[in-house]
Amino acid sequence: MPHTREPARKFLDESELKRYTAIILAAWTALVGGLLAADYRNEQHTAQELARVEVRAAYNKDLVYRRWAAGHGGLYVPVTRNTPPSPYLANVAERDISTPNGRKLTLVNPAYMTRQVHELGWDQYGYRGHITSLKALRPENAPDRWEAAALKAFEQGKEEVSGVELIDGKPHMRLMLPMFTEERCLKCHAHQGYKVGNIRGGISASASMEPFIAAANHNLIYSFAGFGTLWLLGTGGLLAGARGFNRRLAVQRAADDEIRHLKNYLANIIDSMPAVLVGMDTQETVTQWNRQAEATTGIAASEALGRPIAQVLPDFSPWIEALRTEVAQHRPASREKVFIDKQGERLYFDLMLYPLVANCVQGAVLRIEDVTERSRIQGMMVQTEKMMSVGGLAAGMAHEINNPLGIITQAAQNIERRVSPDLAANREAAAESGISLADLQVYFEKRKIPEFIASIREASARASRIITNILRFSRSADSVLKPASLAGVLEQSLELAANDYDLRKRFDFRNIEVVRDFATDMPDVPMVEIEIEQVALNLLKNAAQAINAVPGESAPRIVLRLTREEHHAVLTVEDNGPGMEEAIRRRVFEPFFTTKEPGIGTGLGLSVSYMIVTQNHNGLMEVESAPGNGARFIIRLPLEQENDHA
Amino acid sequence: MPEPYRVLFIDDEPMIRLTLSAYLEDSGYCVFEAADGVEGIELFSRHRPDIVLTDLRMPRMDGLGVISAIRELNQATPIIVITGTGNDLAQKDSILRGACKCLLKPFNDLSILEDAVARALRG
Repeated sequence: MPHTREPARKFLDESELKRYTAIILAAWTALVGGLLAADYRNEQHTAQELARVEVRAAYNKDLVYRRWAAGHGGLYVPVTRNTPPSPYLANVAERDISTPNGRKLTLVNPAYMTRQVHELGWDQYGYRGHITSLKALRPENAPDRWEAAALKAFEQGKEEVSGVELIDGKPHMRLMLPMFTEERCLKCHAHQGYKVGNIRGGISASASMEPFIAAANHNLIYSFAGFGTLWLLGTGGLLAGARGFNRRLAVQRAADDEIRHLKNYLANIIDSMPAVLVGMDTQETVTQWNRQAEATTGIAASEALGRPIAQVLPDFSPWIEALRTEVAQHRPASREKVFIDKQGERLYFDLMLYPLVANCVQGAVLRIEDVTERSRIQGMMVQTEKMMSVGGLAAGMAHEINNPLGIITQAAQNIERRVSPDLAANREAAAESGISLADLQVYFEKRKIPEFIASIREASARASRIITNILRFSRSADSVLKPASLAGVLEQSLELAANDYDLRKRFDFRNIEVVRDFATDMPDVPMVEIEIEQVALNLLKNAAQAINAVPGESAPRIVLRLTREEHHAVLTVEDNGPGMEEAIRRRVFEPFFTTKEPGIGTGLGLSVSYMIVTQNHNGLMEVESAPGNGARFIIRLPLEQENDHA
Repeated sequence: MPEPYRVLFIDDEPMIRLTLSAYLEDSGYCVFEAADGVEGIELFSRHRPDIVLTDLRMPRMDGLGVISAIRELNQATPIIVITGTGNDLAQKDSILRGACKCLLKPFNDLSILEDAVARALRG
């Protein structure tokens, strides 16, 4: 499984789905709404058409009656209050006549007749008719605005004008057709200047739309119900579908999320591992390369995948081969503490190669763990254990050695004393033996006896010091820590250094400038005073010897510093000697490690000091140094100790 | 010439006895040697030394026993313990029982011993 990171798959999320559903719903509603609207318009249109048909029919009826009346040249009707003689016919001959019985009759022209009929019609069934002209003789026949516009349209050539207009606030279908001048019209209207064929005026008719609208609305209710049901069904289906889809998507999304989480989790586990983890297939090609592998080799995963393992891990390939053959038996194989030398350092690794056994997957995984640090620590621990067992042994041995050593020293001292002429007992014994002490002295000088005796004393004294140091090594539990002044201890050490036999022989400690940099608020520190004195003396001697070994340009100087940290008192011994290389600095506290010539120093001083500070006092000791920059030893002693010392 | 001081030296190691006694004798003391505590007590009673030097770890009777025994016989004689162990407890015990000083052997410089003896004898 290649170690890649895939981008998250794009899925419809819930809000997107909602949006799409809303869009479809809107479209559906618009469609249904549109259909409904179309239907409504259709109904309205039909209603209007029906109204128009009715009005036209009524109009035509009107016209027929008018023609009839005009064909007769008018009708004579009895004069009543409602039917007075028409003033507009004043210049028509024989307008008024009487019957033989004396009944008055007057001429009613078609217009008059139509008007009266219209009045009746209006009263009877709300049908309105209006004869009108742009040059109406009778003022009441004047056109209203709509009629005037229609009359003008007729003169333009339009043949019929109709439309829904509000009359008294109620919708009516108004229709108007032009009236052409005919022969018979000239009888009354010639004087107005009309010629046959002219448009004389028009008759407008109107009928209430209400019944038609009512019928249309009635239909509309059913349409509405029908379309509404359709819309509801459609919407219901859409929403149900959307919800179902959403649920499916949610499941899909959850599954995808889980896969992604798992993938990330696995990748995280593999990458977080602080060891190199490399997966390979049966051809030993890299199939998995974790972050630690990138860090260790400097090769990125993208480059490592697909390459043969020997190419990307050349340092380890010989062992990988060996492991490979073992792994062929389907068991993990490992090698511990394999080492390679890189840039002067020896690095240790634990290798493990294990075959992939599950799910019929072929291949193997190689794990490389850097155990350099651990090996070093283990090495140190083994050394320490050796030291401790040596320490234990040493304590016993030391006692055993101490005695004969002491005897050597004492006997040598006695010899020295007993060859001198100063002692009376010597002179007596010499006299009794018949020899001259002076001759003996000369003989001894010639044969360098005094020098031999001196070297016996010196050597045994040195051996004795070593023994003492070793004994100190193992005697830790016996000491009790008591608060004492570090400054005081340092002064004592300085005095010892100045008077120390060794130092005095090689050079004068007093030639070295000692700078004291003591903080003023130094508290007393719990310590075994003579042990810390020993440690300070050891450091002073080392500093002095270092300075003396390589004389530098500047005056020799040792700086003693006392400072206080939150939990520790800090003692620093700094010299301006030649300093140490890193390889030496690192090992300076190791027992028996010494850079001095054989015979000078034992290599125990610093290791004993280290033990005293760290084991006996639970403190810290370290050294900073660089070639040409002198050395600085830093000791930290806890200001408070738990009293579990015997 | 004044009488040399008499030193009783009790130690189970012959070579220690040899070297220490030789030195003290060269310094002008008269030294009696005993190899263990029992012999030591016996010599003490017989010779009444001016000062007793004793080791701690010995067979038959150890140094502490010697100190107690001597103190029963005599309160005044100075007793110096010369021991190879730096054991605080044993040293403290010795002082409690009546020794006036503890010295560590072996000596890098026997003049230290001589010094201690002289001082103890002066009181």
